[in-house]
Amino acid sequence: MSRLPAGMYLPGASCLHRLDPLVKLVGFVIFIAAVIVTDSVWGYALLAVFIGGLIVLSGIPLNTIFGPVRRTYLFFLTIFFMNGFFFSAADPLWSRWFFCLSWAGMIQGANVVLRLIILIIAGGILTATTSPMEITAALRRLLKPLGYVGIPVDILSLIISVAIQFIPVLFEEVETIRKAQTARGARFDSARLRERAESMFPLVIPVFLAAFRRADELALAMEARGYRCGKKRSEVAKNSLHLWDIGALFIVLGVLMVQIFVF
Amino acid sequence: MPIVLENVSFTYGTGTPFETVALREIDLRIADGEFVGVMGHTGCGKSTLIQLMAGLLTPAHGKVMIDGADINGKGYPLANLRQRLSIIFQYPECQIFETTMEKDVAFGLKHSGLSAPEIQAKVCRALESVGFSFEEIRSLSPLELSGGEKRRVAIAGALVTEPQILILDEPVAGIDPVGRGDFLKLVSGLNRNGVTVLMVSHNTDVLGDYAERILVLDQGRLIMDGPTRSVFSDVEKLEKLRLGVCRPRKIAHLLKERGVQFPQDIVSYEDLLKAVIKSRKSVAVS
Repeated sequence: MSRLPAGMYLPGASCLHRLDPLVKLVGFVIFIAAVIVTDSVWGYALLAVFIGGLIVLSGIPLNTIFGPVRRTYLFFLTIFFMNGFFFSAADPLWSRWFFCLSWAGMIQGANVVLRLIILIIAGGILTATTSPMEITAALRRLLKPLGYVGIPVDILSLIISVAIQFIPVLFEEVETIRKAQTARGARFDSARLRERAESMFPLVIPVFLAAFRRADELALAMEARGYRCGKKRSEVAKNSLHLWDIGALFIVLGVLMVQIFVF
Repeated sequence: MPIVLENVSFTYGTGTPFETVALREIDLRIADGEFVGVMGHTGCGKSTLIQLMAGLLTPAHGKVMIDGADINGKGYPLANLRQRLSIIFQYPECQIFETTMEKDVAFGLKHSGLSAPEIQAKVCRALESVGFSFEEIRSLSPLELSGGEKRRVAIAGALVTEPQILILDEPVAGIDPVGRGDFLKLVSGLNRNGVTVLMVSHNTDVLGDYAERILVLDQGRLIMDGPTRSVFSDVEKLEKLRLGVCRPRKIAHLLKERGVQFPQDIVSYEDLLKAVIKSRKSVAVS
């Protein structure tokens, strides 16, 4: 692992880490709304200041924050030029065949790209400061009302949280098997496509088998410790919103209101 | 094919908040035909060390040389090395993926350029060396085998290339006593025929019985390296590291602590037996 995968949780003790996960989740949704309604320079400036503040508060290294954006610059360039060339046929700066570069298109492209970058960074901050378990717990609290109309929220959230917890385990498994098969002569990095495709079998089959075995073992272990499907479960952490949680929500709401009514 | 490590260091997750140094400035030379044991706590860098030797990881600093050539050098034929160096990881039965055992064992020979009858002869020999009858096992699926049988098939899969260097990572963990004895007999037989064996293990008894030389790793550093007798002679140091020594050596040490005259150059059960018989004889004579 030479670099961090995007969206990885970074344990820490900043005030963003300690904020109630539910607030972070709802705040993120409000922030998405705020980003979508933004289309002026001053609006973007406000968002930039807000995001900058979050980065400083979170204490996450800048490399981790901007890495995913930098690595996908081609994607952003493509979006920008697609918009620039195809958005509007009126008043072209330059046109040939069906390409038609326009100011309106470039502005639209810049808008889309800026919004995406801001959202990716905000999403990165959310996942870096909130562990996957906290996010699923927050989801469960958020979706709790659906339980009253017969949707098994508890079971669904358990499935999601088990799945999320096993992602790193499976990654490790893939790595172990990959090494074992490489040592036996598998050619995962072969330049020949056929060899590369063939080399997937020795990797995929053992990983699948291991995943099924793990699932069986986990089910046994859970039942041995008293889990019964569909029964009500107690919670270890009783969450209640603190003053600063509510304050944080109001700040994000404030950003949204300013974007809607001022800019 | 001597293995030489020159000033080798390795770091996981360089440039991330999870950066950890796994090995620091390791210098090491393993000659042909040696039987080397590697000891150390979980996280001391044992696994990293053997993966570097097998070319599965690339060192951050330093060189890993096998047969005089830098295995991470440009254009080094790693595929060729993998025909001559086999590594058996912990729980190797997890790597089985083919529909029949014959096909799975033959996987290591896929790129060897041998003809089909030659490959079959080698697969047959490998499966028989781990105690199977080739005709009975060849067309079985992994679903029809027990865990212990699968482990033996996986070991055959590593031996099928007839490697000159065999690296074993905790090979006897989770294996029953009979299987363990058979496996160790097989490995020491290969070693007698000139195969270099490197065995990572927490089991000091096995190392005392079989290894000629012991490496002890602690927090990424090679802190002890020498003949088994001399490494195990320092009982206090190994106990302070909470690794301990093999039981025969421990018994000799306890006898000495009780004031009994007893030889201290003991590492295997065979040594212990000989020493006990000898001391009883001398008592009988006097």
